[in-house]
Amino acid sequence: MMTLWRTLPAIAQDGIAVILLVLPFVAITLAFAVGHRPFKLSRALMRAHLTTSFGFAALIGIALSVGIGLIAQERSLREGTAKAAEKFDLVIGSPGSEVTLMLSAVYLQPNPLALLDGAVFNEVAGHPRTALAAPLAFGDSYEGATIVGTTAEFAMHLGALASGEMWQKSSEALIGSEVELSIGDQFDPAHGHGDAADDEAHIGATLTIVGQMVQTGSSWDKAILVPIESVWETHGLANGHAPDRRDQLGPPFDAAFFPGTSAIVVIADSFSGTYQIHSDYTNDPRTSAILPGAVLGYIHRLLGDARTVATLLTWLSLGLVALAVLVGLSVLARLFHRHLAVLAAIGASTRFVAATVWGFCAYVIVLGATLGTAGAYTAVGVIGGLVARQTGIDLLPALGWLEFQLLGGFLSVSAMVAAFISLRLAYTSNPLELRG
Amino acid sequence: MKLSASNVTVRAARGRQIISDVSITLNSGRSLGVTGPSGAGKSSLLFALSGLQGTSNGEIRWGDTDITTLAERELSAFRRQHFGMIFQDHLLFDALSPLENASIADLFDNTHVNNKDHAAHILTALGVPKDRNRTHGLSGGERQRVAIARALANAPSVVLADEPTASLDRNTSQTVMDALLEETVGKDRSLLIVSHDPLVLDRMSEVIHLKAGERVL
Repeated sequence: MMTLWRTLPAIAQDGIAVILLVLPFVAITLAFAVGHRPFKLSRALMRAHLTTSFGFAALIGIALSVGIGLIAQERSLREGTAKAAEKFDLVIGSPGSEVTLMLSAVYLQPNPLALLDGAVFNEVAGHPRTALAAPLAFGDSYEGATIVGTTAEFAMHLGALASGEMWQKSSEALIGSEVELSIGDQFDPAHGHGDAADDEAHIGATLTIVGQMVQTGSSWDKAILVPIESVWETHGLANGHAPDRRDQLGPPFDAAFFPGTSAIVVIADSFSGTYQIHSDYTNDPRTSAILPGAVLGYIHRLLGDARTVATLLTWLSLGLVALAVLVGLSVLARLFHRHLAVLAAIGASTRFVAATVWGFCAYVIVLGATLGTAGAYTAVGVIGGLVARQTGIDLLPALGWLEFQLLGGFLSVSAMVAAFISLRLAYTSNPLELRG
Repeated sequence: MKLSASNVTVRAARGRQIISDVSITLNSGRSLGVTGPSGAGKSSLLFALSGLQGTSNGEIRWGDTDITTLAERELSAFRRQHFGMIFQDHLLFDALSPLENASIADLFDNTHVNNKDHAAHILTALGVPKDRNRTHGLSGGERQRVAIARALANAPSVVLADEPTASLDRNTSQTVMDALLEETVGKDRSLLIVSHDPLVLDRMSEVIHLKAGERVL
C-alpha cells in the first residue's frame, strides 16, 4: 500500500489526503441526513439565534484565518523568496557571512561588504565555465530605491525592458517596475540608504532614466540600475577602464583601474559548471561563493521546522477553539431543548432530533470555516502586499494543499465532536419537561 | 377503535406514586376531559397514554396494541401515526412559517404525503394568517392554533391536549375549542383534554376527576 502511495504524484497524494480528511464530515452528514430532512429545522434554529450563531462562526473564522494564514504566509514567503532568487545561480563575494552576501546581492538589503578587486573579477569572468559574470556595486539610493551598479548584460539577464532603451552613457539609468519615476526623469543620487542617506553628497552626478524593466517579482523591481562605471565615478574613483577607454561601459575591465565590487553574480555554462565555479571559489581564500538556491534551501529547512511546530500549534489551537465553540453551542442548544422535546413528543426519532442539533452546529462550523478561509486569503494578500511594498518580493496570496488539509481535518473533527454533543442532547431530551 | 387504560400506575423516580390504578376508556368520536387540583396526576396520565411517560403497572391499549410494551422507536412511530399532541406551551419554531410549523412532521415522516396540504387546510379552518414567513410575532391565540394545526396535520385518530387554553383569554379559548372539537369529534376522532377550565370541560362528552393520583369521579 505504502509502495503504491509513494508512486503517486505529489498532487494526487495531496488531493487524496484532502478527500480522506473531509470524508468523516461527509459521512456524518449523510448518516444524519438520509431518510429525513432535519437541516431545514437546523437553519430555522440558526435564524432564530442569528447573532449568537454568527458570533460563534466569527470565533471559528478568526481562529482558522490565523492558523491558515500563518501557514499560507510562510509558504508564500518561501515561494516568493525562491522566485526572487532564481536568476542568481551563483554569487561570489569576499569571505564572510553567506547569508549577508545573499541578502545584499539577491535581496538588495544594505550591508557592509568587503570589496573584491579587479584581478579576482577578471579571473571569475575568464573562468572557462563562466557564461556571464556581473559585478555589483552598492552604496547609493534615491528616495528609498537602491541604486545598483552593474552591467547591461546582467540587466538583460534579470529581465527585458518594458519601455525605453538600454543605457548608453554612465549618466543613464534603468528603473525597476515598481520605482515611481518615469523615463526622462533626472535625479542626483543620495549617498547611503534610508534615513541616514546624504542627499547632498553627490549633487551634480545627475542620472537620467532611459528605460524601465519588466516586473521580475524580486527586490530588483524597486531598484535603479546604472552602469557600474557610474557608481565608481560618482564616488570619485577610477571607472574600471584605462583613461584611453574611459567612455567604455561594461566588460572587459582593467584590473589596474578596477575600484572593487561588492559581489559578482555568475551564470555558468551549465549546471555542472555552476558547481565547478562554486567549488573553485569556495576553496579560494580570497573569496566565498554561495549558491543562493542552496542557502535558501537551508533557510527554508529551518523555516520548515518552524512550520511543523506552527502547524502543530495551529491544529492544537483549532482543536481547542472548536471544542470551546461546540461546548458553547451545546449550551446554546439547551435554550431550545424544549423544542427538541416537542419534536420527540410528536414522533420524531432520536436520530432526527440529534440531526437537527448537529445540522445547527454544522452550519455554524461551515460558516466559520468559510469566513476563516476568506479571512486567511485576505490576510495573506494584505501582508504579501506590505512585504512587496517593502522589499519588492512578490508574495502571491494563494492557499495550498496543506491549508485545505487543515480545513478538511478541522471540519471532520468538529463534526465528530458536534455529533457526540448532538446525540447526547437528543438522548437526554425529555418530553416530560413539556408537562404544564 | 378506542383508547383504553386499565389499572395504570405511574411512579416517580423515587418511587412515589403519581397515578394509582387509574382506568379510562375513550371511544372514537368522543371527547374526554381530565381535571383535578394541581399535582393530581392529570398531565402524567396524558403523558402515560401517549407513551411519553413510563408506567409501572397496568396496560394502555389502542385497538389491539398495548403501547406500554412498545420499544422507544416503535413508540415514536406509533405516536406519529395515531396521536396528535398539544401542549400548554405551544413551542413553535419561530423562524418557520405557520404552515411549515404545522406540517413539521413532513421533515421526519415520509408516510404522510399530504401533510402540508392538510395542514394548510386546517390553518385556513382555524383562521391563522398564512402569509407570514415566521411565526414570530403571532398572538398567543394564533400560536396555539398553529400548535393545534401541527397536532392535526397527520390526521391522527386521537388528540391529546395538555391545558391547551391555559394561556388564552376567554374569547380566544372558545375559538380554539370550537376548532379543536370540529377537527376531532366532528370528524369521528377522539379528543382528550387535561384542563382546569370549566368552560372547556363543559364541552367534553365526559369528564373524569383525579385527586392525588387516583380517579375520584
